[in-house]
Amino acid sequence: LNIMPVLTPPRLVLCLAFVGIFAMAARPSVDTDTWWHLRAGAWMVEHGRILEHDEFSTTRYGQPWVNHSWLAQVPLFVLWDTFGYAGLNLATAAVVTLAFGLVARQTDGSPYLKAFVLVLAAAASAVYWSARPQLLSFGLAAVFAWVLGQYRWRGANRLWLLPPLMALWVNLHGGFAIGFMLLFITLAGQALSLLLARLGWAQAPGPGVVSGRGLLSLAVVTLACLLVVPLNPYGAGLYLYPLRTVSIGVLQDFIQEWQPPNFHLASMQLFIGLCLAVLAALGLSRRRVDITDFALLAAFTWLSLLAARNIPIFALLAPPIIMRHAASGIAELRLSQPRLAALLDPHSRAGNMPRLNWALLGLAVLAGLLKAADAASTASNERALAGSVPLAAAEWLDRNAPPGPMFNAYNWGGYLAWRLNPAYPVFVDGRTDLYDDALLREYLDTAHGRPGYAATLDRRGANLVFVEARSMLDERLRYEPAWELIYADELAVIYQRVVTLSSVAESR
Amino acid sequence: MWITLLSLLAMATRIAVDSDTWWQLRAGAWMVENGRLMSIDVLSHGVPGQAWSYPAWLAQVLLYLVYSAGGLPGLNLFTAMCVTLAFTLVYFSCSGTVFVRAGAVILAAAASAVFWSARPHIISFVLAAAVLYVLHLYRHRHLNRLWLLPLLMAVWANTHPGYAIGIIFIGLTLAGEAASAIAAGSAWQAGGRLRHLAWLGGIGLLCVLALAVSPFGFGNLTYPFATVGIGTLRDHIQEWQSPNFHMPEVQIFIVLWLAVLAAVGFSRRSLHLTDLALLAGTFFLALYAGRNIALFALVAPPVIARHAQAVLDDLRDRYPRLVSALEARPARASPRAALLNWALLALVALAVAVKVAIPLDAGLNAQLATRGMPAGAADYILAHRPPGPMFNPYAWGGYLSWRLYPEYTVYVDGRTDLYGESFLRDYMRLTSAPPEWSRLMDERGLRLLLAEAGSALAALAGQHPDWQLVYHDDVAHVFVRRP
Repeated sequence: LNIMPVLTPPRLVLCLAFVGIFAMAARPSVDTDTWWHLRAGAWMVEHGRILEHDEFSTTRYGQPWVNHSWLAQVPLFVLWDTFGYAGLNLATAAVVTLAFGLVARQTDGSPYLKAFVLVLAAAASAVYWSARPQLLSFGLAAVFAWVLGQYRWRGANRLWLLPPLMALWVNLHGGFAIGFMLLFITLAGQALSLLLARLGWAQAPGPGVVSGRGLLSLAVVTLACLLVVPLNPYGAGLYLYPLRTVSIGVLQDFIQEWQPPNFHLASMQLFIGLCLAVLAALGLSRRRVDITDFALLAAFTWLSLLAARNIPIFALLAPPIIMRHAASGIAELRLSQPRLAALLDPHSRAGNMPRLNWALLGLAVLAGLLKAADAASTASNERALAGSVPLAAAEWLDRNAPPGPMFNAYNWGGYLAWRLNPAYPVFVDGRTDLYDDALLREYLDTAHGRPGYAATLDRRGANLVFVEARSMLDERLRYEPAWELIYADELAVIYQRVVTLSSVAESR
Repeated sequence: MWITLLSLLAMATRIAVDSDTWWQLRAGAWMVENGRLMSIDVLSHGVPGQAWSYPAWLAQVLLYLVYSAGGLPGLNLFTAMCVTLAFTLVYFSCSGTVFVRAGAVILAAAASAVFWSARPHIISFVLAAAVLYVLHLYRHRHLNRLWLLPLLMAVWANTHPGYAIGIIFIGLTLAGEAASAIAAGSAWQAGGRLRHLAWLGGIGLLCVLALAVSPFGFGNLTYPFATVGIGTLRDHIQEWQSPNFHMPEVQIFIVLWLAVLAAVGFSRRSLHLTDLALLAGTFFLALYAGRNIALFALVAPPVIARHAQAVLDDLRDRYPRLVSALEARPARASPRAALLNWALLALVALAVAVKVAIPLDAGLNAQLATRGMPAGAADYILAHRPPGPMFNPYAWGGYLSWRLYPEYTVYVDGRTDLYGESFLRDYMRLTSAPPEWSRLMDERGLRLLLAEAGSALAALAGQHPDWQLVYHDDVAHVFVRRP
């Protein structure tokens, strides 16, 4: 069998795009929240049951905790335990690549443009690729979008997949709400399209719009998805969970991924690029946008601008729509400007050099593998972490064991819970839903050294303060006679109370 | 149409004074009194004797003259008239039926409302609308008034550093026209496309040269780059940051963007490349810095109207009655209908008059325009004359300059270009109240301290043996250095 001619230039470009996406995603993927997920996973593996209360903090110890990601935490920990950083990073890259593979399956048109749009979308979503249960929400959103897209545009009915997937999703991550948004928006868009077609405003149901019966199937599947939500350890309580999380004010105000995107960062500007690609595609083609497509674009543009963490979902939805319109635009251009059209979509170009194509692909795969190998090595991961995670300070604390309890920086709570538990439970970590608004504000006031910070440290009985070097609290404690600096490096400082609170109590 | 424009006037007439208005007024007053430009700063002791080349003297003088004639209400009305004038030009750039044009313009105006304040940038806004209107006449009405552009740019170069926008608009138009000429392929020389491009290019060049028609000469060409390059500005001043979409008034921008997508997506008309270039450029700028939402609001309505009208035209065959009702284009109103229209207009005019009258009340202005400003502290300082120099928060600098100059100069105010990056970083460090703050104040010779009530600096100074609290209210605390 001669496979040489199979790799035509269009296929080569797509293959290169995917090798590129995999290589982009194969990188140190551990972020501050990964650690407490790992800690929870480790606890569950050790105890053989689901962790439904807090084990890791001084401020919420023993209180009930809606651990909606329990099913993701266990394999996350097993991956880590078996393969270390390599396991987490390569699994992250695999999920990302598979998600965009599903996007590519829904995307038609010029392979060159398609490859460009896919890479642009992948790059725009790259900020949030990390080894956390959230990534599984991203993967499942891709599956939902694919099932719904194939049903609408290709008539392929795989809707039966959705309820079991939803049952899985509610145990993997709180982001299952995204699945419902996709379902509701599709349902509403389809219903409106059918209504307008019946009124004669639009053409009869054609591509992209299902029949009346199809709409009924969609409605039944949506209902089935709603019914499987209680199949989780917290039962029907999980219906309201997403709303509760979104309403935590501190989350909205202070946690970067819940804030509107900061477009001064180059990584965020890629989202603007994607929005402009949508505008160009919709504008330059004479094709009328499908109502459901428009509703999906509108809703996820809105959500992305409200909270940057939604950008990846927009990046999953935009490419098929962009390419639908780009294909029409190029078809129109073929009539007026055949040469320009051929340049954009060189379908007609015959004659290629298969050997060269294979060689190029081989080279790209090799480069991708090198990148993946680097991402798999512990040394390069620790190098990447050393700039943001207090590895050395935690090590020092572990070795010297001064008496706690500890007040710690929010961003490091997860790592400290992983590294120092049970010796030093944390004050706070990334589980914002566990710590309520009041506690998070108390944390912020203290960490910013606002008036009253010393009283809070006293009241909470903290004997250690483990915060960022040069932070406001560092500046305050440096001149505070009641506190002594016992450790400092480029990243972190640790202060100890000169007279520990328990010894004060003893002397009394 | 009249109802739309009157509504705009009503929307835009509100308290327009913000913290930066005050130093603009003070600079205008100084220039009127001294009969010359303030090219060396005299208002601040933070950077004494620093050359100041802010290209807005004309607007500052104008704002001060308006203030002298009409006080704060005069400034509110002036701002509202600028906004209305700008959107009138936008309205006349829109094609389509009255309803379509009015809808697009009102939505865009609402999105840009965050930007309306009595500062030179509001004149910049009118000039931006004027440049777009001249370009519109050239592109769509075949009326060549391009010679107006260098004149507008020469005025702009003396009004506000936003003149960079004018050059960007002309550049984007040139790029869009060139791209569509190339896309037209072999026919690209037909219809005098080359001549059009040459015209636009030549005028663009003249516009760049016209920027030098100002006291600062060719220095104007680099000024906007220097301002945008100030990192502190981008990092800490809200209007230079990415828009905060948690605020409802900012979310109107998303609605405007979706309106553009909807109009362009649902119409079968293809988007002109120049429109694409202008939309893309201003969309990027708006997301980069919230203040640029106003520019997108000038560019979007004509595109929305053009494409929304194309959607209506598509529907006309199937729904002639519905579409003609929406188009509201009777050849001539019957006498009875005309009377009704006049009555309606009169009613709206009355409502507008009432809405406009509220922000023109002098008492209300005095109360609202100084909200959050240390009015009581300024009164105290004027009455008791504690010895300076003074340290003050950035946001109050303009107001204190207005109230206290020439008796007191300020440490810092909203003129980021004057102070520069390193001074502003040092200022930020001082306000964060580092442990050695009092020593740092001494090193800078500062003897009078104004701090925001509830701030860390106010709390620390209140406990410090070297500083004495002499005045406080809900807004400000005033401390003097003990000898």
